[in-house]
Amino acid sequence: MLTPQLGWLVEDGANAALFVTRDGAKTWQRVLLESPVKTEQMKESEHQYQDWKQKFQAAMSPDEAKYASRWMSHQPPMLFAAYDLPTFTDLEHGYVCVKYPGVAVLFETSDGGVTWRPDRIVTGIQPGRSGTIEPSAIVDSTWILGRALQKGLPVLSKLGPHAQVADNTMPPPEASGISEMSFITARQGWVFTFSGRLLATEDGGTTWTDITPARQVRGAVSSTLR
Amino acid sequence: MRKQILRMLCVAGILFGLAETASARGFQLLAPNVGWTIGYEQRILWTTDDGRHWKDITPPSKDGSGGAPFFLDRQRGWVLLAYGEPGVRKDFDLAVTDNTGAAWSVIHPILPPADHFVRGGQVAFADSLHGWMALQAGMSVGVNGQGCYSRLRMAVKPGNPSTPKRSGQC
Repeated sequence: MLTPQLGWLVEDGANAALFVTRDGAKTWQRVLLESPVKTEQMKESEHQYQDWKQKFQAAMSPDEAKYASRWMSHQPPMLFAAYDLPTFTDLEHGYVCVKYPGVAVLFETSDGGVTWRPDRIVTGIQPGRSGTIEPSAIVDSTWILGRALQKGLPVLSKLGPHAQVADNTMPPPEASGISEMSFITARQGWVFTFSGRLLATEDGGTTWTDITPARQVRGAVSSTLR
Repeated sequence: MRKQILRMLCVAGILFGLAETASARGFQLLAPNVGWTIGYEQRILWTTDDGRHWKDITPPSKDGSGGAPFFLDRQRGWVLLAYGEPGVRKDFDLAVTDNTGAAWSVIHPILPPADHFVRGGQVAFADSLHGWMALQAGMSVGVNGQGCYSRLRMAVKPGNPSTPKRSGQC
């Protein structure tokens, strides 16, 4: 929520949709951003969807199929995209990360989200389990993506403006080991791993400190697990 | 503070359909060395030394299950407290602090009658007075049963809750 009138909303789930309101939630508009590149995984996903749609309608009576066809024609195009919440530096300038099968795209806006243009692209992301979304963060114009664990610690990728990276070693999301991240600068941030550890870095990911809280923290100050 | 909070305008959005789970954010680094995380048993923990030490700042609640907090800065934060069985939560309180959880005020927003199963919710604020509550509902009992979206807008003012306005779209 940026102002009392302007706010953004993202659903949870594998295909998290993005909505915006500019009138204090009286109305919402769904935001649809198309990937500037089409990966083999995206083609495969579209093929599977069309196949499913045909089988679904074939199993219906003619009337049901007619109704379903009309309903589907009013649905937004199936982009298989998962949106992050946009990050704004002011009311006009911001970024939003969108993950498609096999590719992650960072879109940029300079008009408060009315229009978006692709700014950075990472391809080569391996297909992962449904519902698992690769975490990323944008700070100081740096796009930070979580990577595979190396000796039990996260590895970060940092992309500056206009970067286009094809990285075939990018692991599937569930193997990246990171479920969430929060950074305040490109050097200082926290990540939460799938193994249940909260890790902190102050040097951009070169070194990590385990700051997972101890189980019993009741009112008084408690130390972390070390 | 409480009076000020009660004057705030809240906007509730209820989502029907696509989402499978309500998974609010589990931690946030707010400033150098300062942040919060959700700890064991959904306790809200606060650190001012980059996680070397944690303090429990969870708001008191009467059997309410707290979600992830939203902190606007180091002092001002909100937590949505949900009541009822998981999956059929229909009642909510909003806990508010302006001193990093040293004390919480709890207000009871008047929501429209729930004809759905609310699974969880999130809050976000632009300033001390204006915020969102986004409540998530299952698709089994949607308003029109077609996976369409329906949203509710409401204002919370002392003694004068506005009539909820409902709008839907497919």
